[in-house]
Amino acid sequence: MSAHTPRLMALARRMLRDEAEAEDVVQESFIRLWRMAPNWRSGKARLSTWMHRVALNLCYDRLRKARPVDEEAPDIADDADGPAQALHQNQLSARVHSAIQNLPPRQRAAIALCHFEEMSNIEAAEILEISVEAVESLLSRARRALKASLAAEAGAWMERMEP
Amino acid sequence: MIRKTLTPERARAILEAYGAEPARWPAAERRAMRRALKGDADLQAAAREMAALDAVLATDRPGRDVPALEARILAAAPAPAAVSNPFASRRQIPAFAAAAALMVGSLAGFGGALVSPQASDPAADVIANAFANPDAVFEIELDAEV
Repeated sequence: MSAHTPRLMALARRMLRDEAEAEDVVQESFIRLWRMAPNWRSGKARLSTWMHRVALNLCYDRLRKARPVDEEAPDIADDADGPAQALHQNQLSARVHSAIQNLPPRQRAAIALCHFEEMSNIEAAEILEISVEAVESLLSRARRALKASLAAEAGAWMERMEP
Repeated sequence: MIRKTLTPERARAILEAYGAEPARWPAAERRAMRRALKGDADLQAAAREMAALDAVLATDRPGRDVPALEARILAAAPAPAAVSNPFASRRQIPAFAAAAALMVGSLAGFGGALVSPQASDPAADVIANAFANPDAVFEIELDAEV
């Protein structure tokens, strides 16, 4: 369970804006696991693949039902009294999270699975129920959008790295 | 041995889709991609841009510490009577009890030690096997109840 919960939670957090909803999705995924387990046989699908697909579809359901939300960046933790570096990290993290949240859901799912969860394109294709080529297309579009929305942040990083 | 080569267009497409970290590149093209990068200054520049985006994305790190959620999930394990499955209700009790016991054990770091002798129910066995072997594959209907 400890191997799956953090990964499912990370996926749900990136797919949904609401932390409590993300937790509900993970919980519901495990309940479905318990319900389905008696019907499994050795052979075809990895547990993690199945659970990620369940969690992702639960996220899609919630996104379909959700009311539109404004596009403001998420609240930033109040670290005003802490070190400037921590504040900067929090602000950067919030901007990145917001940029990911602004991707269309399928692009967001592809980037969550392949980039953040470091799944292979083959496993992501199985979870997303699309071809490997389609996964790659989603990833390219997602990264292009992220590159545009995070251009200032990436530029600053490159400046720091260059001699 | 045939050495796979990549066109510059394909190499650039890989960078644009997967970023600059080789571990994220398609396994079948990873070696060829490394070779392509070595002799191509334009590609190296593109890789540096993608590395910058990767570094920025890495600041989005959802918390990995989820014990409270795991405890909540265990507490919400379906009551045997409320679960519909092929097992008679009497057989569901040890199955879910064993599964929950296994999960509690795994949270505490000593996995199977807490699985009761009643864990011979197929549902509990499957869950135990699944959690003990993350790479094991099962004949799961991927679309079932999903």
